[in-house]
Amino acid sequence: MTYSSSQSVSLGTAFDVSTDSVGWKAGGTVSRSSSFTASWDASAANRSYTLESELGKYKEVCYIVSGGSSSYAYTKYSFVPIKLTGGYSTAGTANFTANYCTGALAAGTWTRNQSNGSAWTLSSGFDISGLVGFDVTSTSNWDTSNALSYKQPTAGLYKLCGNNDWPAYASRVIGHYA
Amino acid sequence: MRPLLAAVCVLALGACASGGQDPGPAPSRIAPGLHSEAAPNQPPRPQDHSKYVAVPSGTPAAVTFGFPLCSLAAGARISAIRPTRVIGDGFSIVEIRLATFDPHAGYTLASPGYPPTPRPNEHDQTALGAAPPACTDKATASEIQIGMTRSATAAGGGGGWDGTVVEYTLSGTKLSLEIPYGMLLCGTSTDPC
Repeated sequence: MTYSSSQSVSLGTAFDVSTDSVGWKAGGTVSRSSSFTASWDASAANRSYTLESELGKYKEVCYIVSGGSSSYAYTKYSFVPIKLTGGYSTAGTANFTANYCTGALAAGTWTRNQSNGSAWTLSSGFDISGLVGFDVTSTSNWDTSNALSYKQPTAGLYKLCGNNDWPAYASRVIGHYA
Repeated sequence: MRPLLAAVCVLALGACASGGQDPGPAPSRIAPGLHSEAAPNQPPRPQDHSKYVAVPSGTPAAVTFGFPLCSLAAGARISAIRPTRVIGDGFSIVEIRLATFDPHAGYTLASPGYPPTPRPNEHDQTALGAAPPACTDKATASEIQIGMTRSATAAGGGGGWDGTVVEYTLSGTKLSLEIPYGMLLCGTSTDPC
């Protein structure tokens, strides 16, 4: 798996709406790009690939100014990704249903770098549940510089499956015994 | 309107392909009448691609590459299958055929050997002149299969087709569909290998 600086990542934000008696909510998304390239080693384990981002907590204090005087109105907080730090790692991921399968594969390496496939989404792009009670998501799409490769060491033993489309276009891809 | 939908790549019917072929004029990636899961509805950017670099196996050592192909409009008929671009000269094409089979059996991406192990209710025919089944026929899946083996003269070089053009006719009009899927045999001309 490789990531290149030309690929931007859409990161979720969170904001405090406690004055509306709702508490924290996931907000919109912001796009962040970088100037580094990451390459993850091959692994036979189920895994997700993570890019590290600096997350800022912002405080917004609002005053109402009227007739030469001001009065306090409210204070709100929000979490917004600042930038990708250059750090990257892997994390485990649970098995998932993937019914769009190929037949048994030849030995070799399959590589996908299409940008018109489904984006992948991490359900916990930011693990801030301890702060705000929920996680926010991150999404990234495929790109020519964002490539995923599967190496099949043995002919006829394995197949590839996609969760919502054929492997070349699926959001998530998994290998199974054929 | 897209008469044919092709999901993968193809080679000239029953012919052998090797390096140095003129890929011909650039085809349309949005082709009326044919549909392929390997060439979705949105025109891909030129760099869009997936590829399989395979190590041949079996006797003789070969690989079967494949991609889904079905008809969006009745009457679409394949007239030629050729590479978008050829890489290396260490390969030869054994055969190109249209296969129909039980959709639960799984499509061919790159299978060991040629011909591959038949799937339930599989029926094979030469691709040239064939009319792929309708995309609306959910009981039947269809794909193009390309058998590829190492060439006798430059086996170590590997290579293959970097994309495929499916040419077809519909109501007397000549059309084409490009499949941005690289089908390659491992060798000095390919990456990886």
